[in-house]
Amino acid sequence: MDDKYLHYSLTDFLEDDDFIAKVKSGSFPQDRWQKSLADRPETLDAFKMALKLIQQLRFNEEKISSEKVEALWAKISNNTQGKKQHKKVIWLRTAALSGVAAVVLVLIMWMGSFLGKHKQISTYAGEHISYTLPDESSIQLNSVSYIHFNPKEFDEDRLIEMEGEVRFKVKKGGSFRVKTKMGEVQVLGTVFNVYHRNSLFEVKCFEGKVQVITNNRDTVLLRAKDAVRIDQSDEMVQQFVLEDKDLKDWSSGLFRYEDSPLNLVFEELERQFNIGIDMENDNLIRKRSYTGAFSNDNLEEALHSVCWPLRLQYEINGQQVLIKEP
Amino acid sequence: MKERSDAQLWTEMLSGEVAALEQIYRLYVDLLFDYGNKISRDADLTEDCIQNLFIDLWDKRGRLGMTDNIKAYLFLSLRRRIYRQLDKNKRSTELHNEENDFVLTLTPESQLIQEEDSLATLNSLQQALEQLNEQQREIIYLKYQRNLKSQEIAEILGIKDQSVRNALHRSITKLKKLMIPVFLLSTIGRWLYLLIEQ
Repeated sequence: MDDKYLHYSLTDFLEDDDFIAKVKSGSFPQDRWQKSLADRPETLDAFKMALKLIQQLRFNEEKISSEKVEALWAKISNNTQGKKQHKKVIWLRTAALSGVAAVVLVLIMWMGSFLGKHKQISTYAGEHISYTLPDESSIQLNSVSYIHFNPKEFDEDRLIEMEGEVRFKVKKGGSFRVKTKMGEVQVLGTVFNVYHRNSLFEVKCFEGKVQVITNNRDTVLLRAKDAVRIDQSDEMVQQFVLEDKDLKDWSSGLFRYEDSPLNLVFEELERQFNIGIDMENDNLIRKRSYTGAFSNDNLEEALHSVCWPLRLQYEINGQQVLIKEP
Repeated sequence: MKERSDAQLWTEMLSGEVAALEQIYRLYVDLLFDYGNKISRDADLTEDCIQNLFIDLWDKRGRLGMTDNIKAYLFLSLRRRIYRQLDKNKRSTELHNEENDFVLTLTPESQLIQEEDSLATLNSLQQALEQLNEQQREIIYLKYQRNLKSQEIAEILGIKDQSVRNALHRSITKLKKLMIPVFLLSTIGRWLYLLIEQ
């Protein structure tokens, strides 16, 4: 198992994070190792000294009072109130919601608690991941996204919880559900895309049929090429139809926008290229909207695609980009 | 008790869940306060920095990336913030600030009570720690008190991986040098004791 220990010096022991963790948790078989090292006196000395030091290197901690902890949290949480909306009635923009049958499913405002081992998959900025689920359905995760599910129960209950943006290609079978904090998607066999970030929830159906259930108990049935977008910040539910050009999306490295707030575009650029974007004049630029597209294979071209039509300039400094007006 | 991984808790926060932000705050506020205080020696400043750290975290969550180690992320952010604030304060005050020394005091409870040499060892270890430089102590704190890996420590301090390993190496060599006499004495002492007992 750990023959490396046989040749360790004191420094080796003290630099080995695994060794340190095990000693601190008490899960390191000290007695066994004392015996194993009996014929290596130098290593044995180093081992003993390392054990001693790890146990002795504990320092006084400065405590913060619980009153202070609460007081600080009060100030922090006050700040989170500002931007959030109060519950209002949802009103519809476009044509009628496709009515669906009898059962209106009641949605739980879950906190995603569950027992047992869950499989988790997440992506960093600049990363796209493909993954095959136990039922042979396949998924693709866009950057900064996260899914988890219970592999043991997946055969009986195909349930995925997610945040971010994920495209699903679901094999026909029993029900398949996707949960986000803003709503749930139920499908039978289909290809669809689910987006949930901040206060925007969007489901696009490419093939098959998808049932979307919002937190306000509205249900929408999407057929191939149907899509729905729910924006919590202005309480809007929009249904729209996908055009051919929409079929090529993030999973092909293409990002299209139609009259979208510029900050959404910049946020996606940040995720795709793992950069930070700063704006010289925050307010002015943020209020603008963008129609167009960028592809994620080249940063300069992508920045050009976004900035040129809006007459903005960009400056790249390593992982940081500065946007300014000329 | 809900078990959530860092990645999950983080993404929930990114998606706008205040409860996730609160959980992150409550999980790490004590650690952040201890670390911040050791850097700044100023409880009020540390508290302000922690508060602003979380406020900014929330405000800017739309543009943050993923992390699977929230502790390391928060430590890095707090440290930067505190140093920025200390710099600002230096410029506006005419007073000579004391050197911000990363002070570590060994906790007596950590001693194995059975050992007779325990107090002597503790004292010499404390003295040995005081012989190290500020950065070495900070690294030792992050590694042994906070259980961070060398790579994470490097990111937090803004130095190279190798620099952390070198500093650790030097610290350990120094500690060993200053500790061995006591270690040996105690071992010899024990042998003598056993001899006499026979």
